[in-house]
Amino acid sequence: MRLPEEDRLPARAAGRRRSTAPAFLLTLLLTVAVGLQAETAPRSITIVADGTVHRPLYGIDFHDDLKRGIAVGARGTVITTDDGGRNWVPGRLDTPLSLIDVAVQGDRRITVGQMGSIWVNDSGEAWRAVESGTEERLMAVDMNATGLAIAVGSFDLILLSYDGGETWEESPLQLAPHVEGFYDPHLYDVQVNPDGSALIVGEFGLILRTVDEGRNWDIVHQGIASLSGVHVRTDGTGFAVGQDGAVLRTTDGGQTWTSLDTPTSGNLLGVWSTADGQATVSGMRYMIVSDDDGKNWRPVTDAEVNTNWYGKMAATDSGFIAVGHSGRVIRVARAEPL
Amino acid sequence: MSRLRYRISHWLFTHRPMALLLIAVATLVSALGLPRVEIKTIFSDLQPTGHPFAETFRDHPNFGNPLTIHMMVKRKQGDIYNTDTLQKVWDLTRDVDLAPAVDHDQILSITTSKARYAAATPFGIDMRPLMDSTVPQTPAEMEEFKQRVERSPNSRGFLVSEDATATLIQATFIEHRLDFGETFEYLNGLAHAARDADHDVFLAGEPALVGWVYQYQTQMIWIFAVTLLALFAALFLYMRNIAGVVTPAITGVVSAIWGFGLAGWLDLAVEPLLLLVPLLLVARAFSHTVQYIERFYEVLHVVGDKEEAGRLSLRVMMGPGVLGIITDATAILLIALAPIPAMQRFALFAGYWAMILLPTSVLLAPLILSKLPVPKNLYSIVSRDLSLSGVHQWMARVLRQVAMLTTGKRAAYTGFALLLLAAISIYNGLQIKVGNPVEGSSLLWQDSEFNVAVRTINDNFPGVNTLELVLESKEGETLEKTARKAGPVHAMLALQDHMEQSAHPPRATLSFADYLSEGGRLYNGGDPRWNPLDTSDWATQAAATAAMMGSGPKAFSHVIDMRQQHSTVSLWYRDNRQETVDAALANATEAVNAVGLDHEQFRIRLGSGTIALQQAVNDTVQGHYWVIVGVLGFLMFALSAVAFKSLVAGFILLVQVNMANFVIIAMLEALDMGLDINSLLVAAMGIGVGIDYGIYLLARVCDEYKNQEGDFAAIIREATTTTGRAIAFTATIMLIGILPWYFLSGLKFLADMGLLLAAVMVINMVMALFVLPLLVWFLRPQFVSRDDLLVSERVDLVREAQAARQSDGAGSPEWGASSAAT
Repeated sequence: MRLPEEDRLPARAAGRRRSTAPAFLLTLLLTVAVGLQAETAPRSITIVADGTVHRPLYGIDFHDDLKRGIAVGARGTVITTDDGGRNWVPGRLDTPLSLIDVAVQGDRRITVGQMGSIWVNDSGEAWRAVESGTEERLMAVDMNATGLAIAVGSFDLILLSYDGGETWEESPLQLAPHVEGFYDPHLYDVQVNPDGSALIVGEFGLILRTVDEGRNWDIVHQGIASLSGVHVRTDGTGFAVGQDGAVLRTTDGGQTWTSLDTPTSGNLLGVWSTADGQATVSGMRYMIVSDDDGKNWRPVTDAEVNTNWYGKMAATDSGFIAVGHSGRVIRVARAEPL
Repeated sequence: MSRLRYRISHWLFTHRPMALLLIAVATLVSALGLPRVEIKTIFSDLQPTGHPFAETFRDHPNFGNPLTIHMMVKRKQGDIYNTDTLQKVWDLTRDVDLAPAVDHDQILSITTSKARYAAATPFGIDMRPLMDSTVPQTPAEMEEFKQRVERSPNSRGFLVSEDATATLIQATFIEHRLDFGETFEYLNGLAHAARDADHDVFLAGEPALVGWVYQYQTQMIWIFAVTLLALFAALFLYMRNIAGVVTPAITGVVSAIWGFGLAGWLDLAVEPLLLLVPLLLVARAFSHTVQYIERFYEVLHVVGDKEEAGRLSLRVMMGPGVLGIITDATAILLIALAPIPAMQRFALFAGYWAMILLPTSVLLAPLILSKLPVPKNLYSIVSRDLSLSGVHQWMARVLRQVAMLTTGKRAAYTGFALLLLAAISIYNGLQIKVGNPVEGSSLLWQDSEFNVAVRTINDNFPGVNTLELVLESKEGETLEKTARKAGPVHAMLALQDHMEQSAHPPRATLSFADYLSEGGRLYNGGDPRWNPLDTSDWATQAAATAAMMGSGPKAFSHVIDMRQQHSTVSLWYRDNRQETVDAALANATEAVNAVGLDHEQFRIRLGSGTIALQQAVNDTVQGHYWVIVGVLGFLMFALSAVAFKSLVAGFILLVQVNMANFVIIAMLEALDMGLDINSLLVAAMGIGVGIDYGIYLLARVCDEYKNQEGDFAAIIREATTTTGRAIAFTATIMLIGILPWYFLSGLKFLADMGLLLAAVMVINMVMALFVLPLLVWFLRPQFVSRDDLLVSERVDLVREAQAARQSDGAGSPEWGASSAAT
């Protein structure tokens, strides 16, 4: 496994140096056009599950049926839903450690967390811990139907599994030489696609991309602000979000990324978008939404999201689902034309 | 014994100037101690010694320190984010910093540098005080301030209410410098001055509560003056002569000088709330003196000579008087069994006072009476002619009816009714709740400024009531910073989690681990997924370094000590009602057991804070109340059995007193007043009152035995209409004196105590007049016929008077051989 010889830093940097005048005019025109076409109702927020302060939820994922879902959090918290996130059943693994992310694929489930902990389960079976070979914090995990699973964590840790999470090997990738200051960057989110390609986001604006099941990685984006969440749809459009209100968009499956203007400088943590162009971004005391695939963003005004934090997101037929502080799950209503 | 009584009375009357001089000198010496009497609250002395909660507080006073005030500034319309409100908070904070006895390191508000915010930025951690060196003036500055508050999880919710309409200023005071009255006057003045059309200011916390009690001290003294006036008025209306009013006044004043004098000489601080006990002791002096006066008049009516009447009545009354006073004093002194320093101090002071009624009421009263003019209404007072008009005859007529209910055929019905009452009272009495039945303080009325402040602050913030679970380091002698290690930090988190998952979760929890968790998040870039702390010492030490960056342990003194060894988990509760306290402690016990009490580096101590300290007092009251009642019962039984030379006598008195006690407790339960440290004191004094009544009445029964030729119906009738009348009178005048408390007092405590004392007087009177005669009637005890009782002296008054006239009072009477004539 090796890094490509050429890092693709300039693309993002150049993007920032471009004149903003054409973008402004375009935005203005689009705004007027959208305004003429269809107004949308404010996104309402509904708390669908509540917990306690010291059991926040960090990760969420849904099966392909978008009905069965699972969310994980502090002190081994595992809650499940069978109705697209409308109702949740509490549960817990026997661990004092926090579970930070979860991935589901078919009957297979993997959850990762503090101190390199990884637990796996097939539907109906009990969760069992598997050896990860590390004590670093694992921040995110994802897998596809072929059994390719990737977990990422602190200090440029990338773990690869080709058997649905039973066994893991650490990627030899060293990112420090490619980061100013020679730091080992924390990696915060990963998306594994059905074709074996994958995206990882992390500190210093890093976006890594592989097309060969994690054997080789390209750095497709670097910057200053850390990126915390990524979601790219099968049509190739997607977003990465992070510190300082950073929202990046790709329309080519993650090969290139463009920085977007947003109405916030807050710390953004999670993102999800749907094929109809609706996108929702969660964060620390902020939530922003777009109805036009990220061309325009507007803040959600609601005390629940304006005074608390929400992280990972997903979308089901009931709306966008986000997990966060105090073990809460909220449903963000989809935009409906007025 | 009779010879001893004779000798004492003889010596006293033959050496009257000497006796008066001795009493005068003792009074003068005592009076010299009066200027040193201090009426003040010593907070730590109100906490029981040896109780694990109180000891935890003493060992770690910084954690959940109850000597903290909570001043809430509430914007009536809109939120606090405007220059006007923030300037007010700024000014108030700085003014609070000038309050007497304030700990300058323990002042917290959104305008102090201890209230900080931190945010992770792409360029590092932005950590600053919420407010810079001035109050925000422009809309941009205000918005920036608002954002900082939003980014400070330990300020939002704790210092600024969730709806942003209120903010808290907190300040802790140093106990040994604290004068509650002075500090409260200052703080209350600030609060009053800060109120305007747009703002309300509320003041709560223990210093404010004690301050309010201090404020009512003047009113309390006025109410007591009204009580004393009412007592004198009742005494005058009843006696209608000089001797009957002046004698109790002198004995009351002399005993007060002796009592307060001792407190002054021994530097015993008198708790302001317990000032009512000295008043009660004055009333007890009245009661004993009135018993004496009644008997003196009876003797005087027969012998016709004041000096001889004084000498003879002293001989007759010395036995029951001494026994009554000793049991009174014993009841009070036994309160010292409850290991609460303030109570023990008070038991010594009040017990001594009760004891000095021996020289003042028993010895001094006859000397005074023998020198005062013979009352013109003597005949109407002592006459058995019930056809006469007047209060004495009216009372005698009523009491004759009472006596008829306790003798003859009617006795069975009365007995059955009393048995029923006893059963109900015992059942209800055993249900008595110990503790605080209200939100805030039961010392003040629910609509009082303080209780309204407590409720309003509880409505806007986690509250003013905390339970502290202290993690005490075992590495005290080393330089180890135990509080930063993984073991204690994860124990804190486990305790918080356990409590939050419990059936009655606290409204909020806070520990040093929360700051570390936040420090770890910020240090790593601000993502909440960095909040969980790893289980290694390295991880928690790194998080602690991040959390304390730019500050020091002083900024965290509410959760760790200055050496970063001990720490606490603070749990906030909605109120301090007993059910809340019980649930909180039950859950905390479970949590501590689940996490483990004892660890290699630390131990967990349950607990401190207002919730635990309230329970510490409750436990002590509950645990010791029945011990005190039990020991007192045994002593009363033993003393009575010896004095009357009969176990049956001890049994009769015990039944009467305990029944009164159960009825009183059942009444407390029915009125939902609960048993607390104050009612413990009053209930114990109530037992003393009851036994007094019983002893006087039973002694009279013995005195009347031969006089009535063993006719128990006549004996009971005579005792009830004479000694019973004195009992009824003292109880009634106390009732008249105390009842105004309920209507006049700004202190609910005084009103409650007034109600309780009134009940004590009336219930004990009723039990003495019904239960004791009934038991005598049914048991017909042999001891009443004995001539050699310590408390009874049958004196042939006519013969004594003749002997006195012939030999100028020097002859020796024939003991017990003559028939009683009183």
